[in-house]
Amino acid sequence: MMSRLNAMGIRPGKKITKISSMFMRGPVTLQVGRMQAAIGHGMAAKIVVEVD
Amino acid sequence: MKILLMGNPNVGKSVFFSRLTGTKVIASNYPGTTVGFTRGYIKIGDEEVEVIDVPGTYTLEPTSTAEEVALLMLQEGDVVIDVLDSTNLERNLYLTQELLEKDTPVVVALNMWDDTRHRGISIDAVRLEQLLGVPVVPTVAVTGQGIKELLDRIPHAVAPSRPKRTPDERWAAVGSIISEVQTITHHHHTRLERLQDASVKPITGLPIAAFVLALSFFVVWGLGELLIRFITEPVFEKLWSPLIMKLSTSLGSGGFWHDILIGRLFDGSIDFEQSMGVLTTGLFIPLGIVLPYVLVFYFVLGLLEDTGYLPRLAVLLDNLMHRIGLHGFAIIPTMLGLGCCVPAILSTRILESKRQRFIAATLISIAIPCAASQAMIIGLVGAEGGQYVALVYGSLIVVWLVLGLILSRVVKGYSPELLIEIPPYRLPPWRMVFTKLWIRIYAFLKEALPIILGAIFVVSLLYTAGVFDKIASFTAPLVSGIFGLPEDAVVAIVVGFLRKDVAIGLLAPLSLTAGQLVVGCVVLTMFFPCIAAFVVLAKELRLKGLLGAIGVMIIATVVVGGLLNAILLRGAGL
Repeated sequence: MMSRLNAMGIRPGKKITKISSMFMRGPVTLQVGRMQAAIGHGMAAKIVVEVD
Repeated sequence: MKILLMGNPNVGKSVFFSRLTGTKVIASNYPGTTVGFTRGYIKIGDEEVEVIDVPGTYTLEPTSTAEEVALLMLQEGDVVIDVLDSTNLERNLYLTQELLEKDTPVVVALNMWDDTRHRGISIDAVRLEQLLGVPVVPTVAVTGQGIKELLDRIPHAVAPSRPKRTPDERWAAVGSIISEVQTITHHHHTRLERLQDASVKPITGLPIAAFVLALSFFVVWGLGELLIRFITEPVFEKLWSPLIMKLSTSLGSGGFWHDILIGRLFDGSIDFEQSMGVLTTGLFIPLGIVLPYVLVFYFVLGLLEDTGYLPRLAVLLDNLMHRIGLHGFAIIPTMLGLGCCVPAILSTRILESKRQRFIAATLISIAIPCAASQAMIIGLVGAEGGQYVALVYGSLIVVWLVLGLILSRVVKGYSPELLIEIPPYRLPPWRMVFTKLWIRIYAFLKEALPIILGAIFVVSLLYTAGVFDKIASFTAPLVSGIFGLPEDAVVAIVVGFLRKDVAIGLLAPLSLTAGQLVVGCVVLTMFFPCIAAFVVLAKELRLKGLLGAIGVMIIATVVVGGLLNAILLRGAGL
């Protein structure tokens, strides 16, 4: 999973913006750079962020 | 010589491919469709060169089967055209960095170049070429801009064969390149971008999704009906029917071959829905009824794909689909099933795991009524009152959910979590939409038609041999005992194997109560899919999966039919 997210450009040190999330632990939509991606809640929960 | 087209998903690689080769190819936004790669040929000078559209990949360190395929193909290529999305340069350059470490010569295409300006992005392509050490050409695949120049520069492709680096080192290299070649000026949120965000947020997205789905449904249903009424039915009635009647007379209006090829005549003429001959009903089902719906459906689906809406729909519905062991993408086959089961079951191929495909195909064939049967249900049950139609649909939705919950607990295997890129909305490239439609229709005709014809042939044989009568008398007690229907209804259930809508129509003369009609419609929908769907199911799930699905189907039908009988007929006395 790490390498997959990494290759998509979701990696340590990048600025991530959460666009939206579905209720009841649904997928989370993120914006990283100029790309938007939706990832499962389980995966999203494993991403640790620092809040600006 | 072999040219490989490589790049991230959603960079317009397939459009690029069809530009280069002129052959037909599928381009779409969801993962899965390009895993089976496409090849074509192009003339460069006097040489016939092979072009291969490699599955979209984010990295050469494979994380999925599609990426493994991509890596394997790389070893066979002579030149790589690395197609980049210019509006998303940073992420796309990661794959480029990996390619530069390999020994295959590379040319870089900065695709979607026209999109950069109004997004406030400016890229120095000349400087990028110096930094990468390989030719860089801005292109717009949709219009063909830059394609010729790119081909001219293929002989200048070089393989820098950079030393192998770690992912962090590659990202650092990407970072320093980006800071030199790309400048981004701030631009205001466009209306399109606001719509993009609104359509993935639950509060605004769900109503938008409901609207898009309802609209698509009515378009498919309405246009399909129109095509049938004004094109396919007249063709069969006016042109085909006289030919068949001549054949009928020359066969002596009866006998073994007449029964097989033409079937029964009603009042001396052919009824394409009920004659059951290979040349009558056998041709009419796939070409006269299924094809029009399939055609319109694939057109609408193509539009949803190429505008970029489908991934958003998948995100919105992922939650619900996860409960039943699927994920957001399974909404596509499910929606297809409301039109016709055949393309629906075929499209379960887009799901990654075997478990997902089994659950999706089983649920579709059991709980999703096709457009033709829905028309009959609404006509027949609706006459008794709208609340009964609601009861039929309500029961089927409950069956879909409960059965899905059970299957997701019972069926072994894994269902991966959703991970998709959400591309920006784009105007669909019409050329692509139509070529893709043509490929899908062609595949449907090639794959489904022969099997359906064969199956009808076998069924006609069984029918003539009287096997169906035996089944009918054998199962009659079951029908009256468990479902609370009169014994005559068993005929409908047997016919339901051939045509669902005709079978539902056969309930009409039985003077059933409203409650019995509801039970009858639900049981007929859930029981065996029509022969066309059955054959496709067998093809997709293989024998073992098919037997499993049939087992689930029989148990579910008996349980649900029995429950409805107990609640509606015995309990409420309807």
